[in-house]
Amino acid sequence: MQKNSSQKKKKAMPKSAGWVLFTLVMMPCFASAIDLKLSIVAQDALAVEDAVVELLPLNADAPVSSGDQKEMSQQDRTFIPFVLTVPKGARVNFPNLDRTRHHVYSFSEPKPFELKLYVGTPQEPVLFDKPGIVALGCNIHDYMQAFIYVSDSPHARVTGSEGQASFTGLPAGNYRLRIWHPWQNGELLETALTLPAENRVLKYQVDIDRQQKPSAPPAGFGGL
Amino acid sequence: MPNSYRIRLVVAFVVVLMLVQLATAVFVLDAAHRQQMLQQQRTLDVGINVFREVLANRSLQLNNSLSVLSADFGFKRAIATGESDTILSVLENHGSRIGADAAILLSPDGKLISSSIAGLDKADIDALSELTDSMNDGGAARILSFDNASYQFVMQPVKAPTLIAWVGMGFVMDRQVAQQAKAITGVEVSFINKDSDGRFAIQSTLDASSQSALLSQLNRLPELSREAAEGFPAHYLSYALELDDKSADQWVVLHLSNLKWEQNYEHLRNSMLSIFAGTLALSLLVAAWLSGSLTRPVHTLVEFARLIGQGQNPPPIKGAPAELAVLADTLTVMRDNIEARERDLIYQSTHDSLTGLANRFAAKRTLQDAGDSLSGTLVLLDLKHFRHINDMIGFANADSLLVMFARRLEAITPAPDFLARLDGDAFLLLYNNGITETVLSDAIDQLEAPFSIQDSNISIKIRAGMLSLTEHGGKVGVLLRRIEIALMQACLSDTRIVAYRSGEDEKYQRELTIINQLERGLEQGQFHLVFQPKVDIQNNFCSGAEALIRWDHPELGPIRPDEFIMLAEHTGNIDLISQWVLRQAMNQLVLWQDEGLVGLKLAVNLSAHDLVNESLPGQIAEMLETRGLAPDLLAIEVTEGAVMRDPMTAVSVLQKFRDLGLSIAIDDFGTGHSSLAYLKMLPVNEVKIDRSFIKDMLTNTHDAMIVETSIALTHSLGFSVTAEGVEERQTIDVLRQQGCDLVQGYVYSRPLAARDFYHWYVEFNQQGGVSPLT
Repeated sequence: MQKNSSQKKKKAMPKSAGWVLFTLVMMPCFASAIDLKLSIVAQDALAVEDAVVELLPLNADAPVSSGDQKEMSQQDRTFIPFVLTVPKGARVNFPNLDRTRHHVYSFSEPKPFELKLYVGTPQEPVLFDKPGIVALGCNIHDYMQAFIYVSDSPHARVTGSEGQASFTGLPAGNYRLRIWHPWQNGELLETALTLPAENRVLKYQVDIDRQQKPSAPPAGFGGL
Repeated sequence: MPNSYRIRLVVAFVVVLMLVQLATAVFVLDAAHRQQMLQQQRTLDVGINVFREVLANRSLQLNNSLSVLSADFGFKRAIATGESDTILSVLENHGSRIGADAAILLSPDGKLISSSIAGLDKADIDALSELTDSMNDGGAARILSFDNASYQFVMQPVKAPTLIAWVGMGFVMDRQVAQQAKAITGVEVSFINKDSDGRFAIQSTLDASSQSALLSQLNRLPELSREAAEGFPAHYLSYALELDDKSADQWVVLHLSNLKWEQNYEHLRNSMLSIFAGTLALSLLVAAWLSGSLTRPVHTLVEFARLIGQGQNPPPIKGAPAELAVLADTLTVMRDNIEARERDLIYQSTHDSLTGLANRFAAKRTLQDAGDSLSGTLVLLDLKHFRHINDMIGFANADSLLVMFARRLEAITPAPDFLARLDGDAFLLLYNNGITETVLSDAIDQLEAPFSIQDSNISIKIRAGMLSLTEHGGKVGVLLRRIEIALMQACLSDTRIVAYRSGEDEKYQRELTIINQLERGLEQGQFHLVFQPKVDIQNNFCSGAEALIRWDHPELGPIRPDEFIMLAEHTGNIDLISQWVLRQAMNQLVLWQDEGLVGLKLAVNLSAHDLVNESLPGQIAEMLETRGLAPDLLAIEVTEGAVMRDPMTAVSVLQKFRDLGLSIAIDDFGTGHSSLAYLKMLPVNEVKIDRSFIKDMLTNTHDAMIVETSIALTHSLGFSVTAEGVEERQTIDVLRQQGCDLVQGYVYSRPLAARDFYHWYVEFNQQGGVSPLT
């Protein structure tokens, strides 16, 4: 099995061009719940923050989590967080913590919407019922930018500043692993993953153009 | 004088000035031209830089405008719809907001989404796509060519907020843009576009004619892009810029008008021309004046020399330069010398060099000049026998005598109004108020006072001819001839003063001719000798002959010896004749001797003059000696009268002849006043009884008796007797009876020429004295 699994991985590796899998720790065999940590690095071997990792179970329908509420707040004319994952069908609130009004919009295909000049939290959260990537902008603050990743699977995380995302209590089975970053060159990465895996921590590399995370320029016209 | 010193000076002056001016003009104008060009170049460079700045600013502005546009929410939303009609509308709408002439939309990966320009090909899209790349780096505009027009194209990303498209806006480079650029740069601007078919389109601030001028020389564009040049179009300095570095089809040409500096240049040139013209004119005047002041003295000198050349006496040159003054002085000295020489010449031509009196030429001219106003008396003086005085005292002393005589003439009273020495010893005096014979005679007395020459007193006798001008006026030649006639008459008649009388002219004309031409006649062989035989009647044999002179004058014909010998005796030329006869006779003797005529005694006649010439015997001796003749072959015949003039001297000279061994005969015996006492004293051998006694002795007993007595007397004195002029045979017989020795006359022969005489002589003596006549 292990051999097979190993062989599969080896076989999969050439298919998934541009990313490498390292098995660091041998995972103990638990039947019911598996913890997994994924580490994402860029081509320069540095940790990649704000990368989305999604594990899509192949052998079971993912439970639809309706009623989930997430938040994409705006503070200091910056979307927080920069990247948000929500399972499809979730609703997202856009609380405005600034004194200025914001005009949040998206022309992205999964969810075009527009929250016209508002203060505080709009009354209705926005429903994201189609999986995909939704680019957010503010019509009056062009530099404001954020992304909502609407995932098929409930197992989606965003890497922290260490470039790691942790999963707990994952059922064993075959998964499809998707990795995406806003600065990524090329399409979203997708690979197969079987749990339990040989290692508890899996490391993946993505090709990105590092940029400054959007942040508000100093107030006034100079920043325009 | 086109070749004058002055013109040359002026020409040299002006040529030098013109060269200097020309060089100055060329230098200044060239410098001005270069300076102007440099300035124009700089101005154009500023224009070029400003133009580039304008273009860049415009790009920036357009970029900014477009970036504002592309950030428009509505624009973004419309783009985000992905509906082509919506997109085209929004492009047109928003494009018109910023005044764009063209708008396109590209996908983030460079695919064309929408365009307001129809027919964009792949190259155009690639060019726009490239522009998006440069936009990523901060942004720049490009000038792109579409549809034969240049567009300044800017592109901006459309972000919502991620990049969803590239929007591009084009702004056509038309005349308006050119005008704006011109307003800023201050130079004319032309946009030139060439499409793929090679068609050119011009958008220019220039006028239409200049634009068409550009079209005709578009091939100059690459050259103009390297260096600004003139003539694109005329009167402009132009520089071309490629609008797009990726294609050579779009140009902007900046034209800086040359008009202003061309005008400046022309103004400068005209100013210089007028200044030079003025300078030239002024310098011409100055040169003329200067050269005038330089050449004026030369001209003055030339005029001075010309006047001198004409023999005038110009006033001396004042204020001339030293060299010219020296020259003028030299000329003056030269002229003075010439004048002095001329004066000398005139003096010499009018004066006698010996006495300083006026000469014949001057006398003639004075008489001629006086013309009709001539009046009074003309006197011609002659020193009697001056030839002899000359011979006696020598030429030098004779000259002194003449000078003293001249001085005395000048001092006599009454003083003559004019005095001249005509020649030799002839002096002409003119008394304008006339002079009487008595007064003249007194004057001559003064002149005849003895002269002291070398401590000895010399007395002279003067003969004078007088001519009353009031009575016998006429031409100068006539006057002189007449006075000479009067003088000659005085000489011939041995009278002191003879006044000319009318009618004497022709007679004395002949005598004058004879006198004047005698010497020349002797030289030219007009004279010859004839010989008359002398026959010894006792022995009936011809023992000698008398040589007689003959003159065949070319005009007057044969002249009787009596006539010219008398004239020669009076004028003192007789010795010339005697000498000639002596020479000829002796030469003839020599010839005859050579022909065998030996022992013939030849007699020649000498005059009274010869008898006072004491040097004559010596001369004869020398003549005989050089010819090798025996003295007894020569006989001398002298007349009684001749001896009786100066018996003492005559006797001594005759004695010398005798001493030489010559025979001496007394000619014409019985006609003179000779006394027998003298005859006794005379050293003679022979007496010739004059023909006047012989002629009639056959009929006249007196004559016969005189002849007989004379013969007897002569024989008694020891002389032989010759009878002259015997014409009849009987006379010979009578004379033979009376004891006469020799007979001469026509009875034997008339005088014969030398050759005839020779034949006669030979024949007569061979026949034993039988006369051919018998």
